[in-house]
Amino acid sequence: MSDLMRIGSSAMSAAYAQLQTSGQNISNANTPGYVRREVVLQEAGSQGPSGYIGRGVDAVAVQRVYDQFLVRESASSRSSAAQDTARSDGLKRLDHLFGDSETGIGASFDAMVSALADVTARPGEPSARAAVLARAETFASRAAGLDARLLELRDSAQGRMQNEIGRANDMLGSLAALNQRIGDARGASGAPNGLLDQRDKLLADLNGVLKANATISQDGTISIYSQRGESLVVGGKASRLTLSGDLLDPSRLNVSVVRSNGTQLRLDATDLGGSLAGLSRFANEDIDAARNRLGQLTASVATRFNDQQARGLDVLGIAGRPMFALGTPTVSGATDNTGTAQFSAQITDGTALKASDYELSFDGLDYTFKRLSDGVLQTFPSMPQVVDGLSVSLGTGTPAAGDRFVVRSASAFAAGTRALLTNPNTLAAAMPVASETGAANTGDLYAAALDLTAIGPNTGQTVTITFTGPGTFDISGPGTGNPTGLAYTPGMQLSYNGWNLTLDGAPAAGDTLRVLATPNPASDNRNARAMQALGDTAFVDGAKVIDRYAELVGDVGTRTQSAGAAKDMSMRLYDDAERARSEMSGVNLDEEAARMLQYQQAYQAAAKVIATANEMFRALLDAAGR
Amino acid sequence: MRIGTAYAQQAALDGIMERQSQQFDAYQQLGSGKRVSRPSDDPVAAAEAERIRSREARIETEKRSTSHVQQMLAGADSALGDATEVLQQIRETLLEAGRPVASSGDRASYAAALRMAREQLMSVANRADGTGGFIFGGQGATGAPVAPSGTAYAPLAGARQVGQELVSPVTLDGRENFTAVRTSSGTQSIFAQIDAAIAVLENPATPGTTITSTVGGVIDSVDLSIDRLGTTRTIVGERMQAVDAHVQGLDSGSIANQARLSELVDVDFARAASKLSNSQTSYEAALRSYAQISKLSLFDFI
Repeated sequence: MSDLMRIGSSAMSAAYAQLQTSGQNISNANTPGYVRREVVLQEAGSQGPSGYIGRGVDAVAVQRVYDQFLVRESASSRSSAAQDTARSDGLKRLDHLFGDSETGIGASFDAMVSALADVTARPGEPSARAAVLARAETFASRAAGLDARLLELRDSAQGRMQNEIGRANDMLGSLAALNQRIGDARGASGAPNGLLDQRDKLLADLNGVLKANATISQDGTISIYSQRGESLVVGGKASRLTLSGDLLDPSRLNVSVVRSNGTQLRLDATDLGGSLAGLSRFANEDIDAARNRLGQLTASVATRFNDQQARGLDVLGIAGRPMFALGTPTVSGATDNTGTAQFSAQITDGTALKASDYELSFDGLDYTFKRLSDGVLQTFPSMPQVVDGLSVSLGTGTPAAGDRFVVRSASAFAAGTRALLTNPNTLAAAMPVASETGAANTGDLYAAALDLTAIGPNTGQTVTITFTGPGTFDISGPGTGNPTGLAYTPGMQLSYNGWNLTLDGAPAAGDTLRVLATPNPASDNRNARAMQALGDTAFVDGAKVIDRYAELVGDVGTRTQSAGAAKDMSMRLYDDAERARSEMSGVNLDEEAARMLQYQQAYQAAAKVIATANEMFRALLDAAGR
Repeated sequence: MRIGTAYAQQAALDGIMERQSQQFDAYQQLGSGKRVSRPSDDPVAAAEAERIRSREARIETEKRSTSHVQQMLAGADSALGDATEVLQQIRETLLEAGRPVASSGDRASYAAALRMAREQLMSVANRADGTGGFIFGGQGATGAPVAPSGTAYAPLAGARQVGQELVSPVTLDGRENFTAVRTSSGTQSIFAQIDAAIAVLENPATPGTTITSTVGGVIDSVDLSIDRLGTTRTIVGERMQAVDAHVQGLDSGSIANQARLSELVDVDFARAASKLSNSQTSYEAALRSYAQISKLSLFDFI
């Protein structure tokens, strides 16, 4: 009878444990990271007096229903999803900056070109000249403003990286503490399910920040490693992550692991994973690409217009002063350089600039420039050198073998863009020289073209071309050497004193043509026309301004679109993994309801077993008492 | 297959959010009329749209320049017409004055008439172009181009030019039309010729034969000038036609640009409207099914 009692009570307590577990599952149906549990039952067997009846049931353990592969897959896909999401979110904000075409750099450049057309129509009109200067100002402030927006985006991404590092360090600390407690709890009865849930969840969360792999050891603790195998958590000890400026380029932030001995080990951004990788790629690659293109475009426009302005005369007949100021290129050494060299850089040809910065390295013998946008190398045995329109020279000191420098070219220009002219009279709309055929000419000699490459000391001196016959002519005037008896061919070009003159027509003997200083610079429009023509001249490294700007817009759009697609894809993979994980480990309330009914019935049945045993016992007592 | 309740709830909620955002996108496209409002909506279209916007800005600029050119050419044409008319009058006066029967009193009054006509011609030659310059301003004049003597021309001979795609002169050359008109034996100023006629007519002592020969010579010069102005006017007329054709070209280019731009970035309203109604339907379906399914629970039945 006591056997039956024991069987009944073991069944009752087993059913009670199951009901409790179900209750726990129901309570935690919405708890993140909770893994549903079930009671492991085992028949309590023992040899009874009348054969193998058994001694009821034992609830041997409460176990988590989970599959470590599904957990790992979920964590790993979460790292990709977080990486793609961080980059895509950043790019969406970048994309927004290029949303309105009418307020873009391209439109402001076109507005300047358009104002120049009005000056060519009415060179004497101060308001037309003022409009050009106002639009130059708009162009410059939009370029500088856009660069500032881009830098803000980079700063905000780097700020987020800093936050994420803080979160990751907290999680690493918690993971180590959990490891410790799990290790300590080992040996006590049953697995520390709650702690295991928490650890899995933290590991998954950590994967949202950077990709971390875990291996489980015999004592139940896990060791956590970065993608490249640097250890982050071992047992109860956690490493710390830190963000620090790159040795070569301090504006770039690298993630490093601080080892227990204090040394830092840089984690390569390419296989960092998690939101850190996405943010780092956005801050370093995507923003840089946009800033470099913007810088190249701005520098080309500024230097080309300054150059054209220098070839002209303003209203007062003074050679044109620069229209734009630009940010200056810089060369800065890596913090671990051992030499003393200080380099400087300046633009020699704004139209040859590439949309890139450079890494300059010295191997003890040669100087090598690495163009960062495409990795193209150029090696020189000496300094100074001109690389892609940029002249780099050794200022002071000497470099040591292995020294590296970063040459900020394209990235340096846009930030400092300013329009310099405010007085409408200072727009150099006039060309310094003009040509005129002699009044008494009898042939039809004419100047088909006259342009200026640079103002020289003799530019405004009168040079006279006199035909001594239909096919021969003399030239006289300062700077020409007064050659005589030159042979004439229609369409031929003469170049003196900074100007190029194309002669055409059928001259007669005695015909003359003079090149002379422009008498009325205030009413001359020819340099303004030359500036206007820059609107459709391919001077930004071989392409027109608008084509380069369209490239920039297209590049930003393509990056954003493909990052968005990558995010959608990796989010789907993460979702699939989460779904698979939740199908295994998530709590289903209907299931728990059904189980509760089942356990309740079991409980009631067990109670009935005890009651029956009791009745039998009582009946036995009654019979004995008679 | 079992399903985690929390996951299912979240998935259902995510589905609703997703449909809500699709609906919002469709609504926004319809509201703005733009299919491409950010480069990432269609990077290739956004880049091409930027080029078209620029091309359109260039057309606008060229059209403004061209309209200036048209205005200047119209002014030049009418100045040339006026100058020709004055020269015709001068010619008629000279014909009258050169007749041997004309009395010295008549000659004095012809001379006075010629003086007035000369002044008219001078005012045409120095006519302002309405934009701060002069019709016969050559390469650019800051003051009256033809000196009162009628023989000196202040600006450089030639013409100021405007425009990028169609380069067009906006001034006329006062030297070749007035102060140094080409003849078979060199150049002459039409004003100096008229002055010569006035001088002989005003002098009562001039013999009749001298008057006849001088006035006859001046008439030849006036004829030459009329021819010269006529040639210039023909050139201006041809230029005006070329400019008109250019404007037409610009207009049709502009229309093509607008059409292409619309194709690239504007929303197809029919499609967007049907997308909106589709997204509304699926949003509603998601809400309804979520509300119905989430109400169901085994707990309600036990």
